[in-house]
Amino acid sequence: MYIIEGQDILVTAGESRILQLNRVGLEEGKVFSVIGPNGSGKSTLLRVMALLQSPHSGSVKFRGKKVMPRDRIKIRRRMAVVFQEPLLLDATVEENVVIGLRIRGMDTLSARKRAKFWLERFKVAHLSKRWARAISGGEARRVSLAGAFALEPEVLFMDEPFANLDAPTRESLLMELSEVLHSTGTTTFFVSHDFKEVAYLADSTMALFDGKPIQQDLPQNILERPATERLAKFVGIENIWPARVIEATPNKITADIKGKKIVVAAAGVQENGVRLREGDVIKIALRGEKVDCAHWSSKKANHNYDFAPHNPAKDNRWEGTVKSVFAFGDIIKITAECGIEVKISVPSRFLNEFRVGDPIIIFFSAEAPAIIR
Amino acid sequence: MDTIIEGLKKGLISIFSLDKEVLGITIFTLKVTGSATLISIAIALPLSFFLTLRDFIGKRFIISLANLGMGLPPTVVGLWVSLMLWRSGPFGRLHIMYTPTAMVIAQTAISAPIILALSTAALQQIDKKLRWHIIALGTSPLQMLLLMLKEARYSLLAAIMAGFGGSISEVGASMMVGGNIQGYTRVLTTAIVLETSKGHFDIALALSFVLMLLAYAATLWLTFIQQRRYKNVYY
Repeated sequence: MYIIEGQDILVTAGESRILQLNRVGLEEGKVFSVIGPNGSGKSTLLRVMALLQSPHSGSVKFRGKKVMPRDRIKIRRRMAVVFQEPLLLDATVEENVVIGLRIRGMDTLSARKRAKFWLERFKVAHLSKRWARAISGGEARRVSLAGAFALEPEVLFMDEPFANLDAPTRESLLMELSEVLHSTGTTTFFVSHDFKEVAYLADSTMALFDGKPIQQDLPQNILERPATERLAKFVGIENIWPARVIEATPNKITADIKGKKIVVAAAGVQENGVRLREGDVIKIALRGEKVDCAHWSSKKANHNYDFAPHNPAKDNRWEGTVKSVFAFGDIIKITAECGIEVKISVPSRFLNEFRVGDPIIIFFSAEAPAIIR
Repeated sequence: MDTIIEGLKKGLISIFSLDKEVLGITIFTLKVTGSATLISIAIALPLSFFLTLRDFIGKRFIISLANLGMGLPPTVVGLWVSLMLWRSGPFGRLHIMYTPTAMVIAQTAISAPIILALSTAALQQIDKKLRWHIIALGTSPLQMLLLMLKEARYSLLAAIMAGFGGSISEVGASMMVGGNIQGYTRVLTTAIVLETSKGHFDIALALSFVLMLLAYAATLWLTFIQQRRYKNVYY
């Protein structure tokens, strides 16, 4: 049974439908995430589920019981919300954590004790007596999280908790939050537009576009086997090609992309519920990190990714030339011209291995590509 | 120049010697204006919460009326209150014309729109998302109002002080509905008008210093509280 569940939710603004979904639920102890671009209805869904906004139609159930307007305050006191901007009251850091506990009926002494524990856990105890409006964005985010966890909620809602943070702060906070979530087993609903955060924290993910759910799956599957081209682009898949099926067997699909043959494992096809036949026109998505490459002359492959259980060379092996090489921090983006353009991501240590115009061999396993609608 | 110096001297003597009449007028002024301010708060604050938290047809019209009320000429208020309380008026049988009660009513009509307009603006300035945060904490409606009150306390205080200032400084309405009766409905402003018209500039100046002192004391208090807030923010 879901701890909290939304059914037939419809939220409108004038003529437009901001959110429309049949069912969304959170399992106890799990981290559920909603991913989507800005304006996709993620935050609206969070507010509806957190009982902060009433949908135009539909209902929210808490532990199997439909939430009635008179129960809202009582149930809100069993939940906590962390918003996109760290919303802190015009009071000290400690008071900001204590206030929620006091509202929920805890005596001042116990509330201060609990606040101290959580402020320490999020490494902001030294700011206790400081005015909340005078601390930095990263510190305020930690105070917000401490305040939410101090409430020991049955369900924690987080709306883009790492937005507008610098990369090192974001990374350390992400790790700390993950640790706290796992140690407390808090049921969590969080929304994000960053698929890396989702992959790191979530047990399951729903992709939301234009207020409608596109796919609900394990984060890894959404990242590697997105259901639509738009979602594929959103999760950062660089290679999306139109193709025609030339052979479909129970184990694999062979397709043609502008004269190039590509072999795709049937397992990936079935996951998206697509049944294919010869002559079908499809789209194939291939993540750049899933492509391995070797310099033609050295024939030395950089095995930066694990292709097990297949030998990549046996499934898909194309030859071409290097069209461009760009370094992006710790990775290099190579564009190879193999009759079709293939974008490849390799670790930065290979920066000097490839130059524009060099011959290149690329290969990837049949499990690497995904078929999208 | 001599008149001003003489007036200043007399004013200071009146203040420091606790002149019976000046003291009586000052205390009465504070009573009338204080009562009017308290009543205005009681009317305006709940109304400003309602205007902030509820959406309904005519809301903007009400806010525009409150904004208009901020610039309402006291003589117009005096006229309307007089018409209401006049013997033949709708409330004439209450016989409160030319009484302190009538003055409190008139001053309330002046300060309530000021407090309403400014406190509504103050409450509406609270970030809507912060309101969500307050609701998400599990607050009851009363707890939410108290937290919002706390959040907007400095701006609300300024609204109250502006209302108090509007009341204590007005003269037209108090004169019209109070009648400036010595020892009964005479306040600082009406006394200044009277003494000036009689050519007693020294007494008028003394009373004006007292009035300014009261206004400054109120401003000083507000400034002190506001500066303490900034000290808290920037330490």
